[in-house]
Amino acid sequence: MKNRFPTLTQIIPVLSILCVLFYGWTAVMFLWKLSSWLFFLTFGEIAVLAAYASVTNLVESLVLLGILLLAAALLPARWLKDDFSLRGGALAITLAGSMLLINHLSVIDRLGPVAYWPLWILGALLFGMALSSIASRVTIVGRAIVWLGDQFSVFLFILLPMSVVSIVVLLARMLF
Amino acid sequence: MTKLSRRDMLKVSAAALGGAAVAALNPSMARMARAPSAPARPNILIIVFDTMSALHLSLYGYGRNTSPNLDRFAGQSIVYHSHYSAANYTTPGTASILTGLHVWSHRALSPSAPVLRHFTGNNIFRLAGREYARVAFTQNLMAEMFLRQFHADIDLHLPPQSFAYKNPLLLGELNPDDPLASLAFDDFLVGGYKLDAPYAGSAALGTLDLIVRRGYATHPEVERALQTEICFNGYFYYKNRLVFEGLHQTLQRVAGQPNPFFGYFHLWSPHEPYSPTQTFDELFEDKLRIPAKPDHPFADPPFHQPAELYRFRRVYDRYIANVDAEFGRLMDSMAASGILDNTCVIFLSDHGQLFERGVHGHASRLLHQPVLRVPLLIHMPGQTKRLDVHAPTSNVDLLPTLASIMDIESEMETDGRLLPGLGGAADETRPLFAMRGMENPALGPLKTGTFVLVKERHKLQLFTGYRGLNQQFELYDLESDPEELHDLSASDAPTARRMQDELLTARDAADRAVLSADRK
Repeated sequence: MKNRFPTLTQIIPVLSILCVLFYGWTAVMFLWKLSSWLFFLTFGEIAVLAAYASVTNLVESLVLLGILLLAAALLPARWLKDDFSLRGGALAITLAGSMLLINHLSVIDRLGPVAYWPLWILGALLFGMALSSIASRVTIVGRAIVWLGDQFSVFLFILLPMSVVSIVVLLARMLF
Repeated sequence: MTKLSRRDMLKVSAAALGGAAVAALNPSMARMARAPSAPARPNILIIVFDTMSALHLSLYGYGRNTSPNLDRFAGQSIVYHSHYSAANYTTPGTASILTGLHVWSHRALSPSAPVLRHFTGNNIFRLAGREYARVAFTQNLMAEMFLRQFHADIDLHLPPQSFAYKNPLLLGELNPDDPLASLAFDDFLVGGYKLDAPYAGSAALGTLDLIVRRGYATHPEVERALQTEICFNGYFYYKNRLVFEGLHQTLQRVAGQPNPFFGYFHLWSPHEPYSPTQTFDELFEDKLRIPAKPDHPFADPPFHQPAELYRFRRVYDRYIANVDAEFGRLMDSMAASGILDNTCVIFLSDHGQLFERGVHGHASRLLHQPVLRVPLLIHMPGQTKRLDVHAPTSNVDLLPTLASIMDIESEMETDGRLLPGLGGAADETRPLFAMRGMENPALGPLKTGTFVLVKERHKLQLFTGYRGLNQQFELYDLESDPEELHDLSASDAPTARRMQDELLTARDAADRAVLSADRK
């Protein structure tokens, strides 16, 4: 069973891409809200909101990573598992990126009717598969994705401990 | 004297630490449980129905029987017949209710603007003080902005989606004792409210929320229900019946506290989209006569056709009848549970609604009577008879009147006066001001907007700063022309000039006060 999953060294770059995209988006939105929160919240309360955000980001990153790992385990190994840092990275960029795009399009009212949304999901998946295929064939694209994953890994040293502390804070608030 | 062993000491210390942690981590619990105060003070319940025009209530003589329950409630209340909102839409109108200040003083001009920072402590919750258990709830997210701004003065702040249909992604209830959980998930991460940032804070939750909400709204069964059963405020779905039942349960909860309660409940209904339940869906199939009013040249197109406006008016009236029935049920429940016996109930609205001159809504440039005239009824504990007050009054009068009702010496700034019937003088010559200024910066001089002065029988309306419009006045005689059909600004120039001077002097004085306070 263990052989059906990629190795940890292949998983970490994909997780780091997901984390940077999800935490990064949230950080920008957090700064957007900050000026309003300063009107009525203390710094401690704002820190608690940051803790909720951080835990949510960790969960969404892990859920998407889990979906990719499940796909890697179920699909033929050469489709995803063998070159997970590259193909998984391409899919991570596409899936997380499409979520950011959907949020943006909804705000500018360009998302279209609900009936088209399955097409959106299908389109994102096809684009992700195409990107991962291109990445494995076109060296510069592949190297760019792998490079991104490697470079982003350093952020995990900040983001993951931050999320662990946040979990402890929130558990304390829930339990007491 | 019993000696404490080391083990006992450890237990006591742990319990003390635990108690302190609970209090620190659960501020709402700590703040609700205070030492009892003097028992003589009545509970205060303020109910704001959003967008309820007094001119559509049978209570005030409207041609349709839209408010039989309010009529009944009026039998044991003080009824204000010339009551005005300070503004034409929620943000400035609510800010005036809560601060007792004119719009040009508090400057919550644009839809998501708070009141000026130095007025943050100038609010009815601070006025009530810690001797009251202060509870606040609104379904209107513009009003929610102020509840957040006045957060430090509110003991129990119910999230807007309380009593609503639960979007499974609104995760605030994961930790219901933590008010920050709702703020974190329901406002920020899921991004349902978009008050002060347009995007969801979490990309994944925001995407899922879009799917859930839009999928819900377009489900055929829900689409049908939306026509008749379920109401929507642009952010979440709810049933008025459940909201009012929730309010009553909340009141029962806070009435059990040692302190009297001070409740502010600002409901979305009867704001559009109008969603009367089936019971009310066939009312008013009549031929109500509405005076013809041509499209107003200063309003923004597109203009609605009279037939369309008539249709909107009918559904609005049905919706008022619907929420009036729910209000009646709430009052009956409060009477049955004994809460009403020691509660001062204040019923009002933040602004009205227009169905004339080509305009449907309230945010337009036109500040005609249906958008400014709002209901005000005050029931004092033990009151059994009706008292009618015809002197002009304003929503800014609420704060000083509350101070009197709660017997509190207040040094808060206010543009209001003590209401007649509760100690105030009935001043028929009093000037009343209202304005719309959403295009103005909060801290700049008021150059663009519509400004209104009502004094004695006359009403002056000034349109200024709009594209192609500068210093255009309209003057109406409200006694002989309550429908505001005949502009007298040319034929009664002396009155128009006198009122212009008074209006502009008051506005400019407010400008100077704001600008000098800002410089300090």
